Amino acid sequence: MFFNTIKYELKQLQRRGWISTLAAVMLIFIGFAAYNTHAKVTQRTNDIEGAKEELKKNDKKMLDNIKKIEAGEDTGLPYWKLPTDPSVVGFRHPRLATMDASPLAILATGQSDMYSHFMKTSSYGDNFALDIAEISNPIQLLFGTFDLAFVFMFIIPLLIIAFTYNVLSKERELGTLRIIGAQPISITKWLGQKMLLRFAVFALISAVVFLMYLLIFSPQALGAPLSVLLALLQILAYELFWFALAAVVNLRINDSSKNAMTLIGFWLLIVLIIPVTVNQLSSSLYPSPSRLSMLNEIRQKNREVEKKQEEILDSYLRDHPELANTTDDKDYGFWHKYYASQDILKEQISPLIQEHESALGNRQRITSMMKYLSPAIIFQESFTKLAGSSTQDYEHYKKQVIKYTDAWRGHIVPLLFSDVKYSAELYQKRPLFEYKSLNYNRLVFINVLLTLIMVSVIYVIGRLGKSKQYL
Amino acid sequence: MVIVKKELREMWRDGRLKYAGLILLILMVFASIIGVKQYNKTNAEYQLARDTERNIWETQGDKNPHSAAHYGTYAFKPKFALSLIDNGINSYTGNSIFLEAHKRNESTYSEASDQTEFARFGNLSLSFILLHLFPLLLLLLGYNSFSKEREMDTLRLLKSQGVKPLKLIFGKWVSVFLPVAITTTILFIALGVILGSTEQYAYFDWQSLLIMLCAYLLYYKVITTLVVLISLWSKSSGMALVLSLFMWILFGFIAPKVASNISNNLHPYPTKQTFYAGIQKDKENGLDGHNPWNKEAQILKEKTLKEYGVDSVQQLPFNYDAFRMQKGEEHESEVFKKHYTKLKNIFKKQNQTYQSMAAISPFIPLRLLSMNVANSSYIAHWNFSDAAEDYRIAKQAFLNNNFKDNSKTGDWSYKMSGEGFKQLPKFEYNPPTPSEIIKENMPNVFILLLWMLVPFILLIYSAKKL
Repeated sequence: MFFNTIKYELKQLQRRGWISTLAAVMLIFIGFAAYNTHAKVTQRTNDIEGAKEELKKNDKKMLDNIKKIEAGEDTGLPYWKLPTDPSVVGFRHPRLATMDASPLAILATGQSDMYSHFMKTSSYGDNFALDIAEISNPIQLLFGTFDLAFVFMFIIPLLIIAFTYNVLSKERELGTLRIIGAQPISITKWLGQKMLLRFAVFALISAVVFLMYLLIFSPQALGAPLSVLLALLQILAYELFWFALAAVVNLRINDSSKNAMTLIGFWLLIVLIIPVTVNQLSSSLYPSPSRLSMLNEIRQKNREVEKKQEEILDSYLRDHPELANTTDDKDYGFWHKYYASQDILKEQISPLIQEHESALGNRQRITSMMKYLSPAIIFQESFTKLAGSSTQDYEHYKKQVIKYTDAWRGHIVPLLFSDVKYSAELYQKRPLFEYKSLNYNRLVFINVLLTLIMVSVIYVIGRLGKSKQYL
Repeated sequence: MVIVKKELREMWRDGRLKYAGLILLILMVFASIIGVKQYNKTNAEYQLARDTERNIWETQGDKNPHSAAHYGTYAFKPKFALSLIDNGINSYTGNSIFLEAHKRNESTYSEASDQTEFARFGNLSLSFILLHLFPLLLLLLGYNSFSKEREMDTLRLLKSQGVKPLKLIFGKWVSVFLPVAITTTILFIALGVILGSTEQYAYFDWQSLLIMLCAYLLYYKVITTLVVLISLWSKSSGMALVLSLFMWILFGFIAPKVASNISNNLHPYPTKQTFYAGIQKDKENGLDGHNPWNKEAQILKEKTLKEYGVDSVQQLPFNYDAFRMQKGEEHESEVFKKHYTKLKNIFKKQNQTYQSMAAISPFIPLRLLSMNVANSSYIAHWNFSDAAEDYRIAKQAFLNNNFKDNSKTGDWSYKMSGEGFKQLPKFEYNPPTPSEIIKENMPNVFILLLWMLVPFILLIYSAKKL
């Protein structure tokens, strides 16, 4: 009976054109989404490569000038641009801190349209005020982009609804359910077999189309096979959730029009209403700490520090005797005062920033906890994490940039205070930036399991309650 | 009227109007309460930050004007009353701009950057209800308005009773549109009363609220017409529902995203680093106010000496260093103007792409219009950013001229009195008037009207074939 049901169902799907329709729709939607994100990733990679090339060129020019100065030749540069002065190197020859795209960046735009992927960091500037936001049209940020996460999370469930809403009810409406009822199989089992087959067909098509576009637009993904597997499992688990839901609705309601309305209602709830409500609730219950009041406080601290620059320098040199020049006629200039006051300012502002970041962290953690309310939120999280485009990734990058800027400043400031000329040898000892990405495989695996637990809950709900007279 | 009454009674009885309306009402009340609460909080923060910053500026004591220029001040974007209805792009742009010497800064610290990626789902705000859920209600009310008559074979019965097709269509159209139109109007009136009740809701005017209401009602008319048309052409209610739903998703979710992708692919913004590198290059090619050996500075010096008929800058009746710095500022502001104009032109092209995508979605012109009227659009942000830049330029001139007129060349120890800083006028931002906004948004209004007109003509045409 099982093979007969499968054979009959397969034939029906083929004759009604479902297989070709699904394949065509997925090819179009997934293809367009993959192309869009690929275009963004390519633009990002090209921008980073361009910046790297530019740095290489500038550094070569700087080293040539250092050599010329060391050889006593004229560089044609005014004195405040001479690269043998450490403060000039620190300020006028910024370093590059890049955030390369992850192998699966094609999965989700996430927050990548909001942030910059390369920062030029100099020894000048407020590290605590580092803003990694990119210039972008906020309308684009508001509307979002048509990416793979959107297609799988938003559109694919609708395709599943269209594919499954009348599996049982149509048989009843056509009067063929009575014939099936006469067969030696229960209606529930028969529906289960049909649904499983439909899921297998749907999952196969979506998996093949997804992997095909992944290979076309992001072959580097092959370098991260575990992440690809997890992305695929997340897709399949999410699709299974919708098939399970459709099966229960078919069993419980068994009227095509009402089935469709109910499933669309669930879609609205899971994909739209719950995520927007969760977001609204978390904003209201745990609002972000005010950036504006933090700004005011920083300004006031800044003013106090500025007023006391001379005293600060004295105190700084007391704390860092290794940087103080032993001769009495040392004339400390702008840069000395600046670096000394920056350190004090940083010390004074750190508690403010930490307080702000901790409040933000708490809020973000609470928002993340609410993902259990909707598989769509779980799916979105998995895809943005695998793509390396979540808020957490950009915060991680920002922290690394700040650390690197500190290292660069640490490379320059002692040279400035001890009157050492910058040289090619010192250049070789400069700190280098290497972005270390976060690994989310464990989290995504848990998300897949969570989605499957949701499927089980739906299955249990489907089995519970009074048995229904389907015929 | 008979048809309208009958249809409404039927919708009420089968629960669509009752339950969907109730759910929407709950969501609307929830969104309104949260919206008002958040608006008040943000507004209070804005007012406190603005006053504190002004106080910091006014109490900085005796100081060299150029040091004060580098210390700078902030311009804060005011919260507009109608942003309670449509907060537009405000979450994606910061609401403060640092105004300092030699540099035009962008607004920083957007609300979105402090949130997780989940924030990209959007908020359960009034705009979400008005833009997405009300059209969905129209769809639920109207998807089977004709298909059910066809399925139950009652269409023939109606015709045999002498009901004119046009009247029938119009009756059904009104019965779908009316509940949503009345709810929307009541909502807008209630919000108008709240917004107009106290002064804390700045820049509120009934005219803008009315324009916004008309825009939404126009959009609902478009959706109603299309839903009734789909129902008229569909063979079954199921098919009508699927098609209407596809239209809803296409209009409100797919088309805006596709428009974003296309506009970005066709007219990409430069990266921040490239943008600032271009500015830096142009700045270096002109007058550097801090560098007397700069080529342009030498030319200025010669020109000034010649103009005043003196041999050295020390003989000039003002502080030449301050004069040169002011000239440097003027050059820099021209550089910024040039680059920001380029950026604005890219934005204008992107905006045109959005408008051309309105061919597949009336949602896009409505959203652009709604944000513009609420002063929460990107154009409004540009206006604020430009106003802040004008203020920065005026502030620099105020400080440099004080330095120039009250000290001698080379006297860097000069300090402007603490009282002097109070003389700097406060930053005031005047948004465009409602009529200016409408004038600027004529293309959006025109597209919406076109969307209204074409399906309506088709509906009338279809009535003849009924």
